[in-house]
Amino acid sequence: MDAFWIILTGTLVAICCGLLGCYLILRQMAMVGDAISHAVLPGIVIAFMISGSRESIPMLIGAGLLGIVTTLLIEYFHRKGKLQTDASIGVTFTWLFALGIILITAFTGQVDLDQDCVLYGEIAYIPIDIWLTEGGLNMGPRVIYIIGIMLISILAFIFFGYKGLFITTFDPAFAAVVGINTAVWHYGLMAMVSLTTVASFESVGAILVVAFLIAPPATAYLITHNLKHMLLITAGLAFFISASGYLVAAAINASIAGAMAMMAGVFFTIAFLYQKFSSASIQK
Amino acid sequence: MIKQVKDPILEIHDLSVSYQKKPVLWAIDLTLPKGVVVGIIGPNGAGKSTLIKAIMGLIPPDSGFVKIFGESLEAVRHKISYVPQRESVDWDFPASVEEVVMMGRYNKIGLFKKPRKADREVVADCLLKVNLEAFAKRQISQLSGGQQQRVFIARALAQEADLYFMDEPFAGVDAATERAIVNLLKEMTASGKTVVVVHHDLNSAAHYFDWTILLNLKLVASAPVKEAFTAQLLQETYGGKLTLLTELGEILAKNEIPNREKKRY
Amino acid sequence: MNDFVDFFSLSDPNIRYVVLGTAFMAAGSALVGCFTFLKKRALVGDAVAHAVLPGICLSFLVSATKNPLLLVIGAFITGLMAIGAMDAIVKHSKLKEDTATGIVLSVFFGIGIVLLTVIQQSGSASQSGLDTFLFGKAAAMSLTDVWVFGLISLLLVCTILLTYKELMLVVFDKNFANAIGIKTKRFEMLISVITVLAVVVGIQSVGVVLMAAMLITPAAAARFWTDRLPVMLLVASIFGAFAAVGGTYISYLAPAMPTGPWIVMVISIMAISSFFLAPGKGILHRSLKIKRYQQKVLHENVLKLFYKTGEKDADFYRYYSFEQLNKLEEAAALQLKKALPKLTAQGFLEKKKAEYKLTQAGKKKGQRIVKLHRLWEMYLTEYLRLAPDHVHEDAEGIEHIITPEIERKLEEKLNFPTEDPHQSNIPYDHKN
Repeated sequence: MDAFWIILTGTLVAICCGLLGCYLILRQMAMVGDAISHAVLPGIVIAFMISGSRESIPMLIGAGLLGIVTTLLIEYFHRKGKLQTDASIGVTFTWLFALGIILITAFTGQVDLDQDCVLYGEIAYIPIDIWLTEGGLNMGPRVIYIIGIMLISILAFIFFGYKGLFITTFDPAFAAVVGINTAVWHYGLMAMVSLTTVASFESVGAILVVAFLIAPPATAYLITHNLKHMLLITAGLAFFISASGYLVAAAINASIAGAMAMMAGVFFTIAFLYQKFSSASIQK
Repeated sequence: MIKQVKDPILEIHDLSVSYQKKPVLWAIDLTLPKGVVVGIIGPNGAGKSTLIKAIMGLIPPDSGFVKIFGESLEAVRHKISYVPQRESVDWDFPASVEEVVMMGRYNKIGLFKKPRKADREVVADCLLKVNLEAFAKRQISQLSGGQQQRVFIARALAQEADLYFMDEPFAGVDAATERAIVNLLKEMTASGKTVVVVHHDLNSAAHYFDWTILLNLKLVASAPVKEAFTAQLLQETYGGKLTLLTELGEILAKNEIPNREKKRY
Repeated sequence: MNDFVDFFSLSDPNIRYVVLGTAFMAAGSALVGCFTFLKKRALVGDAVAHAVLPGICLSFLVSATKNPLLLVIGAFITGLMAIGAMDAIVKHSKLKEDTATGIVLSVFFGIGIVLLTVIQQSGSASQSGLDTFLFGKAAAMSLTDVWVFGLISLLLVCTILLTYKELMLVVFDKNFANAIGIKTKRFEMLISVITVLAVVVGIQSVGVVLMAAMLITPAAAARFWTDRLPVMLLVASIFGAFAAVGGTYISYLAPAMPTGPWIVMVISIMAISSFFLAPGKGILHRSLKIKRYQQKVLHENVLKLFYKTGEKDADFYRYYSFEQLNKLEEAAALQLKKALPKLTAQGFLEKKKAEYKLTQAGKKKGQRIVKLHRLWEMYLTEYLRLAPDHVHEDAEGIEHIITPEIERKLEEKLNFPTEDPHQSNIPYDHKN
């Protein structure tokens, strides 16, 4: 029974992250996604301190806000401060993540966690949620609800916003000329990424979120030329990665989240080698 | 030789535009007539792309204004069409030729509605006009440079606009595509449309355009091509940088002084 | 106060080790980080930091010991593999750099976590503490650690010093470097190697996620203080070392506080302050410059007003009250009110009771601005072929930035005109 919940949770989370990740990689903002997933930590902690519990709504709001703040900060340093993009991202998210860990330690009494685990870098999110097993996965109906709602929101976002996302990703200049507000779509996407990363941490931990954001979409992108197919393949991969990851972890008694990330890498490598060597043969 | 026209389709008044804080266009004043193919000519860095981008609102000007069809840009966006430089997008993007051309219809369809049969017919028709109907389902990375350029043009045509801006549509395309585009432009103007083209090659300019704008940081000329292409005016356009303007531009850029500060006191 | 003395006297050997160790680590990372920063590949360090985890675990699994040298070698191998993987992905597919970085980062780290949990399950006694090795426990540094870090940092410094010229070229102008025969691939490899080395040393203090900060943030901060590479390297390493000591000190004061995040906090604050405060490039400095310029414009416009009124009245040395002046131009009264006393203090205006008049110096300055304005209007009508009624706005702005050299060139180009497009007189200074 556990296996079912784990694989289901993993699949749902992977679909949520992967669908959004398709747009992130096409906009060349993959690392911004990584940054947001780390930078939301202070938001989670503050929300925890304010709401006094791990109720998900305040946490989601706190994180969502911080995700937007992160994006704004990165852009501020880049545009006003004239700092190059990669450094803007790096400086911003490391600072916010450090802040998050400091807040956790400072308020150890109020925030439910284990001192040592705080130093575990990304697995820092685990201590906030005592349901997490050592493998980093959390199961239970509450999580499924949250992820389920997230998934429906994302599907709605992509379905109704398909053309808007399409045109602002492919050709933002053309979009601006025909009167489309590219900023709205940009921040809308970033907000969805923030909310999704937080909703996912609760269940799979930070390691896996970034893997799910980037690897399945990249894999799909390598094997198709059609955006709709890319989205579908990403969703399909979500299941296979989750299932195979769980099985591997169970077999060698290792971290489930880690195993899923590993399997995401395996599928990616297969697709990478395939496109590399099949295109080579086409050229010959 | 700056000829002004009555009932212009495009009116530019005292337009100064900076790029990275350095002025690249100084106080441009001109009017353009309807139904012609206009070529914007000038050396590299003369501000040609900047000019059309400023007209379309992609770059905010330091001063001046632009009137299109006698109105502000926002009122007439649905009547304007844009063909950007080919390098401005990533052609690995997972889209088909058809899907890109359909982007030209988004304005008419509305961002949240589905394309209708009429839209699909327009797209098919535009593909026909640029000889790409056989490539409709092809992914855009599998196209040659000339074909990619034609996809952009088909997209612009699909907008069914009255005023078209094209940024170097002839750059890096094969001879057949070049001929096809020129014929297309002439057809378009024959049916009353106006096309403004940023162009890089002086020799072909004389044959492709009815009206030319010569730019070199400043407006050198804006007139029918025969009147604009005099030895003296071309010398002024290509004969080297305007040192004074360039020097002043550099002072403005280095000190981050905005060109045309609004009067503060 | 006692804490301060206790700490900085470095009498306690533990404190000594931690301070020295982290300072070496931070300085070395900062140096290496400058190069990745300048190559605009700052996030590669982040990926490498995550990628060393599987290497360390594999080393442990293979050798069944916690020999630091072996662990470093393992880290090194997977660190380099990560860089190779990122390059390969970009080179052999349509994926872009950011995607490649993200994939390598998360997948390698995931594999590392798998190995780590396998090790933990095996319950072997010697593996305890492996985690702290990996996730940063600066407070538990030993003398051996200090030696190792010190040596590695020294190695980094020496490497950079020896290959400085080539590295600089490879980073700033790869094509030129290739053209003059430098084997750029080798030096890029070298940069990769020293990056991995710096990471391996650094994550033991600050942990995997924050390692990127030790590479990127000091370099970003230093960039705002200088344009010259040697200075940037020096400033970055000093900033890094300072942050390391600072962060360690804070952690010493509040033992519950983790050292790594505080080191990152200090360096981040230093960087953000640099973005704002650094002279030249800093945000505050730039806006100060703009404010100062605006004041200069305001003052010159006031003197111009006096001069033009003097032209009309054919007397430049008349007294005007504030109200009279305010009426002459639709000016912001507040600005005018502020400018008048300042100009008087600078000697351009003379005040008698409540009225102001130009001094000789003031007249000269006002005259110059008016001259530049009218010269520029001539230039615009002649060389830009603008209509006379379109040139005033432009001249209002440009009159304030025309330097004496440009003024001379203008005069020559226009052949010393006496009248502007509006038939106003262009006043030349006929003194000597």
